[in-house]
Amino acid sequence: MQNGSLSRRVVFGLVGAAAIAVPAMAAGPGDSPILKRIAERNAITIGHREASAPYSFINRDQRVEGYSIDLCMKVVEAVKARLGKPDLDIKYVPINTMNRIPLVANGTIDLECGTTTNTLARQEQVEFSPIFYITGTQVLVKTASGAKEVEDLKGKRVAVLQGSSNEQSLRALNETQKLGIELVYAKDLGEGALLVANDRVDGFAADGGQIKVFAATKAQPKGSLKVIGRLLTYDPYSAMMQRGDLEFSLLVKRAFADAFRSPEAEKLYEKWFGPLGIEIEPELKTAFAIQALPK
Amino acid sequence: MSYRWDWSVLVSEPYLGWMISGLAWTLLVAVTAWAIALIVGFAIGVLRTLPSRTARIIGTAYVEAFRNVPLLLQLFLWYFVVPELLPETIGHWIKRDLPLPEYWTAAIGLGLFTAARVAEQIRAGIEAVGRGQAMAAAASGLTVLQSYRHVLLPVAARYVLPPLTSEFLNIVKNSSLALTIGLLELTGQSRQIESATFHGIEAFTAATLTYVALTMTAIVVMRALERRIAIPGLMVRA
Repeated sequence: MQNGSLSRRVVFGLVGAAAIAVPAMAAGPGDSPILKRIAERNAITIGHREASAPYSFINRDQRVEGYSIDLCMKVVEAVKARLGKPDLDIKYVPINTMNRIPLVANGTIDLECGTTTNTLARQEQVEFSPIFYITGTQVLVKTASGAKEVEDLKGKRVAVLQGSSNEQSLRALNETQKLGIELVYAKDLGEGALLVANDRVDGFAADGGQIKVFAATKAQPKGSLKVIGRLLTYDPYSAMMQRGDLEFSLLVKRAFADAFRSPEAEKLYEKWFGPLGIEIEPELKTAFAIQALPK
Repeated sequence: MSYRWDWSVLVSEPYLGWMISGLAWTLLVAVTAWAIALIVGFAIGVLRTLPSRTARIIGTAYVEAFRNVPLLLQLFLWYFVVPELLPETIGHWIKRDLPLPEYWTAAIGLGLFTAARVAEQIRAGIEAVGRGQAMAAAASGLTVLQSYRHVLLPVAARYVLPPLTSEFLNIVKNSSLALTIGLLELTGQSRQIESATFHGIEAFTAATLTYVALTMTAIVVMRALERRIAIPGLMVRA
């Protein structure tokens, strides 16, 4: 008897909850400030990098594209469906490491689609999407140098990007293993690789994925640069959005999970990294599987 | 804006240390570059006013070469291109054995760039002293060298002190471009803090205020110097 009324109450409760939840989910911005803003402007603003191929960059036709951008487009589709605005405008705003946080925090940018490592310290400022790429610190060297691991660069000069997590990891390694590596600072990926090519330094420590792309596409002559060593750090990339908007965050999570569940995400990986001959790492495959939450 | 302010990152370790080291590099680059700019700038400025045509051509060539190319580009050329053009052993020495290569490249690049601007001011100063005084010096039996040393330069230097102050302030601010060749001065360290903590707004605000404090100090010192060395009756006093 008691059991019966409890289950009836549960059923009524569920029906009631669904009645409230369904209209909110179906259309309209609900109580999401970001979706409200997008609906008002009739445009979603995407932050992109200008030269982080193949993740996020401006191509020869001056159009923004890349692996991160394609994944973000899944979110844009979801926003369009949610707001019932199939002709929603997409505005692109170029960002760099100096302005990306303020622009996301002050609402200029709705979604940042670049090469930002998801860290807990950064989560104090912004919200992150599920992880869509995994890399870690590796070292770019001249193929002729014969170095195989970062330890082979003992006592040599190694470039790092200013303010990168790569620098911190190299510093730590230097201290624990007494490698005596001298650090040189580079402003961006191109400059770091130029330092190696010019023999100004013996190696360039940066995110493995990005320097692999560089070695595959820009090394002069071809094959003269290569990426060596194990992953010295764990750098998962995510898209950034404003904090404190659970609705929008859920929409982003859902769009990413859908892409991870279907072969969509792996297809996109293949589209951007396949031509460069960079195969998908088992870690990333696992990340896709784990973050493909059930509907 | 949903930014979480936290000014305490600026006084916590290691970030306070980073800012102090950045300030030290900014000062070191600015002072070294200023020394180079003054020495080279005086020499080129004088060359541009000498009676010799060859000397004037050399001076003009220097000024036009260094003041018409953006500083950012000049630093890049000094750092990446020049060592490749030199004979291999010298290039190799610059790239691998020279201690503090980023510091020396930044200081010399910035110094030579500013020297072109200083030279123009010195030339203007010498011309402002007037042909009359130069002729009077010659009539009193002074050689060209002596007339520059005893008459033209001492007066010209006083005339150009206020614009030279501006150049010094420029050098302090332009030193921030050294970060593009890997020298972590004040602006570079602010970027480091930004990347490490994501509290960039605080770091850049602190850097801005530090630059303002530095340049204000320089202005006060230079004003005092101007008053001390003014020639009574000759210099117009505000």
